[in-house]
Amino acid sequence: MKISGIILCLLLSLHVFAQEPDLLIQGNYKKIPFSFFVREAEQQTGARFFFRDEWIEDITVDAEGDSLSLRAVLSNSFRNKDLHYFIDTSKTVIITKGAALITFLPQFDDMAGIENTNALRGRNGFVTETEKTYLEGRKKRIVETLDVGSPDHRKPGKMVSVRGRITDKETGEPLIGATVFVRETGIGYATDADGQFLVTLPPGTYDVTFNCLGMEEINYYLALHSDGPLIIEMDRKLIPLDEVRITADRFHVVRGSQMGYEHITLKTIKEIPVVMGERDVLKVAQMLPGVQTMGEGTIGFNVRGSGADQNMFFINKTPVYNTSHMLGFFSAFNPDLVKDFTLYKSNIPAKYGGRLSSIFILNSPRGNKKKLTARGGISPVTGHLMVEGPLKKEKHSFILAARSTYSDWLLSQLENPELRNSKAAFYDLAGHLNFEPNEKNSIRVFGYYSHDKFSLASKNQHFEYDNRGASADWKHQWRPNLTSEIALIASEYAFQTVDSSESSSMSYKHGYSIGHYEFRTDFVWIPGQDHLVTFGLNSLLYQLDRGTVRPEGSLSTRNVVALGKEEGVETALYLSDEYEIIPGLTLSAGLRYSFYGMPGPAVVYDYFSGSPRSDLYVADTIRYSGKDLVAFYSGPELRGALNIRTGENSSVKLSYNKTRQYLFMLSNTLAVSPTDQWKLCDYHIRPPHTNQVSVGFYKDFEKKDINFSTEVYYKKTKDIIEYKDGASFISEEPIETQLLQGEQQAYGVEFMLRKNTGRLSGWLSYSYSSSTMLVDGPNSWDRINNGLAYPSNYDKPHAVNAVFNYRFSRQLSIGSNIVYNTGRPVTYPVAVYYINNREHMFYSLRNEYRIPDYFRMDLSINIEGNLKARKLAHSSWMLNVYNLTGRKNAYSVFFEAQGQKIESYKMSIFGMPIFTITWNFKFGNYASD
Amino acid sequence: MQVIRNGISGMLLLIFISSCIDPFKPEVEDISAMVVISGRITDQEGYHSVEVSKSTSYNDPYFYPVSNCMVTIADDKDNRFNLTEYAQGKYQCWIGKEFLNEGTYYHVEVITPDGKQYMSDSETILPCPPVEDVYFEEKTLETENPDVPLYGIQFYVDADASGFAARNFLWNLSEAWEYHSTYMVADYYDGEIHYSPEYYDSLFYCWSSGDLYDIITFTTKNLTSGKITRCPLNFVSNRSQRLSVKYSLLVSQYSISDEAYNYWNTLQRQSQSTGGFYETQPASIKGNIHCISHPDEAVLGYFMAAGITQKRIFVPRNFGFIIHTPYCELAGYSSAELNDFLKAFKKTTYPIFLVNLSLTESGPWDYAEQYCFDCRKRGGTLTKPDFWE
Repeated sequence: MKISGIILCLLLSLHVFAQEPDLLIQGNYKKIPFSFFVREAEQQTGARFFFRDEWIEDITVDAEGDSLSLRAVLSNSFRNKDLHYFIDTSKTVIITKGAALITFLPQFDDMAGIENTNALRGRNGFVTETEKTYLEGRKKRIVETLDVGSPDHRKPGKMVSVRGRITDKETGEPLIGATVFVRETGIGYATDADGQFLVTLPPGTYDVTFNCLGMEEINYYLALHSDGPLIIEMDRKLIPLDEVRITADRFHVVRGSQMGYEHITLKTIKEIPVVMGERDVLKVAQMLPGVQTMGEGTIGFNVRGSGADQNMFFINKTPVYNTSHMLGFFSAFNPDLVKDFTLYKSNIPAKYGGRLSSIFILNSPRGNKKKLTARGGISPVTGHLMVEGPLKKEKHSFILAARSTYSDWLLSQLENPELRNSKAAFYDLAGHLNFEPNEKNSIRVFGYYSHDKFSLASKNQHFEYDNRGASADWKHQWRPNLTSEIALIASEYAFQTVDSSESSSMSYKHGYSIGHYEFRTDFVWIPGQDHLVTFGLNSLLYQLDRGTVRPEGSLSTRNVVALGKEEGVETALYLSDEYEIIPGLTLSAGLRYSFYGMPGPAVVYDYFSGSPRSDLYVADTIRYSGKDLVAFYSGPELRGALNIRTGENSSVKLSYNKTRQYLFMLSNTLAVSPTDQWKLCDYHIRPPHTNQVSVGFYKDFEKKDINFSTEVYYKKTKDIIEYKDGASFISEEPIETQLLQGEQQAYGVEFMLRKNTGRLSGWLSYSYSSSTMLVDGPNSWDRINNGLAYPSNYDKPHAVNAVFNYRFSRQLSIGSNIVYNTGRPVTYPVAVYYINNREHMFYSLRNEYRIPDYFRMDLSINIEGNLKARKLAHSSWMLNVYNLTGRKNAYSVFFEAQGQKIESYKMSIFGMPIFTITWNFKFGNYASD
Repeated sequence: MQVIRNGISGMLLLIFISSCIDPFKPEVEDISAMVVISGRITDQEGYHSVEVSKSTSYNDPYFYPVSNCMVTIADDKDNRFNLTEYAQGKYQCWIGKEFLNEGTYYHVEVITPDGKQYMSDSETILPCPPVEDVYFEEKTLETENPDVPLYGIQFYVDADASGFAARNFLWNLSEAWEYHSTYMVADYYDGEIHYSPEYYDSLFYCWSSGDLYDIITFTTKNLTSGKITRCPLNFVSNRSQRLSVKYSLLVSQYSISDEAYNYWNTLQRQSQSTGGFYETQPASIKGNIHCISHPDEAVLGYFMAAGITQKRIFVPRNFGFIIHTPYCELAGYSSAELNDFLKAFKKTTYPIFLVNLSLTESGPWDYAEQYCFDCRKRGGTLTKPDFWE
């Protein structure tokens, strides 16, 4: 091991010498070991050789003469050995394995062309992995030049498209959200879900920096000759402790055109203390500005003041309709299965539609392409196992993951006799196959299943629900600048409930299911340097079986109510272009046009105009056959954004967004419950649509690696669906008699300060927001809250989130979350009256009051095992304290009339600090994934 | 990056156990008082009553009656019954059987002393099916303390409305119970101790009664038949003297209109909220009374017309759990101590009943709390109700 840091100096000198020097030696060498030859040559010429002993073990030298060319001798000896050499003028001989040292200057295109017949050159060249490890800590700018295309194909004046792909050197996983920054143009690019990016530039040599969270930053000169591919393999950071980046999108926070965009990777998730000791990606999402929940133990999110049914969750293109396990205490996604997630809360790309407020995209890893590895865990409550590995080395890979609880067993151990009868259990399974037959094609097949059951013994209610999903996805590159993706997607959600909370006569069971079957195709076309065009279409079929409410138990005399089946077809076409008008000014504009139709058969009631929708006022009964269209809606969805660079490290962005949604959730409870049914828009219920405008300012303080961003948004939703007071969704009455449509208005401002690296990292965010509903029809029965605007159930004006992580050493770190937000709105009694000596409450206007403010502080201490590089498995301990201050945050405030007295109570879920200890282990060392 | 959740077993325990309910008084702004008018007319000959009051603030609730109103029940056959105020804010009138018919529509009119006129919507009486059965089962309720459950009996009602037009029902409950003192009265002190068997059991047998505050509603709208099975009524625990001798429950069943059902059912649901998972948001419900002189004024309350049937059951003490009775241990005084103790009583509290430990004239005696002798001191009366079996 003779290579040392002097290589660096050598490297710098490389650029100076255009002609390759040689050395002369003499002697008679007959099959002598290479090491002998080296000793001889060093003595004769004063040269110094650098190589690794294992490379030359079986190399022998066979040469004879008085003035042997060292070059010739080495070339002969290394023939067919995949060894290369480099000799410089200071008599240094460097031997490399795998690839020759690049010894040309970028401007010497003719030489480069000869040396690199293979247009694609990875960076498996000069510095090997191990050597690089040695170099850590005193790294300077090591710049290699990579050639793209061939100078022979160079056409003056024609732009060069580089179709690049960035992968993890260790696992072969594509790196999503890695950034490519071209210093000369000042433009940043980010990789897509396949780790791919496309850069179009005039031919020439550029200084390009590649960045990805958790990976070593690398810098190359790219010599662009003609269109061609480029593969960049990035090394994991061996010292991530000191350099954790909160996001990968370091550059495009400022330079990218995305707004209202959050991207979080597993690395970030690892740093955040969460309840249950589980690294739950959706709990991390709650710490981002603009994302709120109704409270602890609730399902769903409210993004920028919108209802929980206005968000779409995709895992690998498969939509998931219920994203939580066990009353929302766990999310439906196995933490092993989530590599990163992206959230669009405004400026949703034209590619996505179908929801008004936001799109959550979760990506699973592709599976280790290099070696079979497994991870697993078991505890009294849950156990999980994940296996990943290659199906064919370097090409195809698979992942199988499973997670389950044993909490039935746990609850049965409880002393509380009521809980002893309660049941709560869940499991989820996922499988992922990834085929990459060649560079131009990749196929992914993904399957997901989750099952939940629980009983609220106190209320005699039993729930069971399932998510089933599958997708197959083929990505093909037609030309370097044109790729397509075709996907077939199926997702189903079903629940069964048995409710005996009222009398025996009223006990019922009800099953429900929704199916989502989708075909989509998406194209990315890069016609030139300044444009990025995406277009495609998706078509999806919704199949709802709203189920039948049936009597449960021999005493029940409940009516059988068939709620009916319905179908809807939603199709959308889209086209969008990101266009750099002038350097520093990027416009992205997209149009999505969506069509929605509900086919028959159906029976629809028409009501007298000017009268309430009720069975008393049915004017006509319309019968549709299977050939008829019961309802049809369509409309354009414009998406536009403008990014104005206001300085080297700052930008201002503007965006406008229109979204439409053709299905909604029937919910009359405060928080989303697993028995809330999805329902399609129909003859009576019009699809709601939202207009959102936002303005943002972004600044990087590069020296300190701090980003600051602020966004202001205003959005208005027309035809938002609200339930009437006392609405029931399992009754015989048609659904339109239980609902009203109104207007929702939301606005807010969000501030975010992130520090990405250093001992102290984390973020601090504040948002002010408002979300109000208005249901003010022409008649008294078309109004909610007397036609006055009222705060939505999830309107929480002030929200402060702080996430800190402080590293004392590589093995010890402390993290903390601090969460504050205004209490959610509630309706309180404001007056009391008596009838027959019984006290009754008169309630305020809807949501006129608020429950007490929410505050919580969590603490976590992470203790890593030893940092040896070579070991079978690595483990760490995580001590968590959730709700350190023990504050009894209100989940709800409620009132009980107890005879002539009214008692009021506050219910809290986590009313004390909750300690958890988690033991994590994985195969590999500290840095392995 | 694997997670073994050792902590979670402990975790889940904590989630549920630390899920806590604490008294909490929210700050609520006062709103101006609203007139509340409520009443009912049934198909039973007798007094029919209407209450007029005003709402009070949430922070300081009390019954605020409105006196000196002109209250009239009128039907659609031009019969008008003027009600007289028999207690503050409470008005009543005797209506004969001939005026109480199915198909007749009734409403109430009220003129308050400040001249405002109020009127209810009209309702008609639907005949009420008989109460088929009232019965109970022993039931154990969980309490905050998992080791100390609450034993008692849960009442249920069955009814069969098949063949009746009525499909909405409201039940009101009245309870009564017999209970006994711990000690019969023999000896007493009124300055000196008397051996005096003349009192004997005169303060031993008591009865107590009252209306229950529960509102119980039911609709057969969603049922295939008119059969109402095991509709839960009230729960009576072993922690009161109600079950100590004999308990009686009177179930009054009213057949009510759809509107009345919505009104009472909403009130019922709002009085039973527990703030738990998946509860619905409360909302105001106003009723069917309107101010005709000032149409914008909000008015509360409901005037309903209803058929009524009743059933009473008696439950003698015979349970699989023990009954908690008032604590009646002897004080354990020596004669001298007792004397000193008794001297401290004021004359107005005489006689002070004592326990004779030897059942002879010479004693010795001991003291026990007076409610152990005089059952009236536990809230009841010595008068046996006329319905008592």
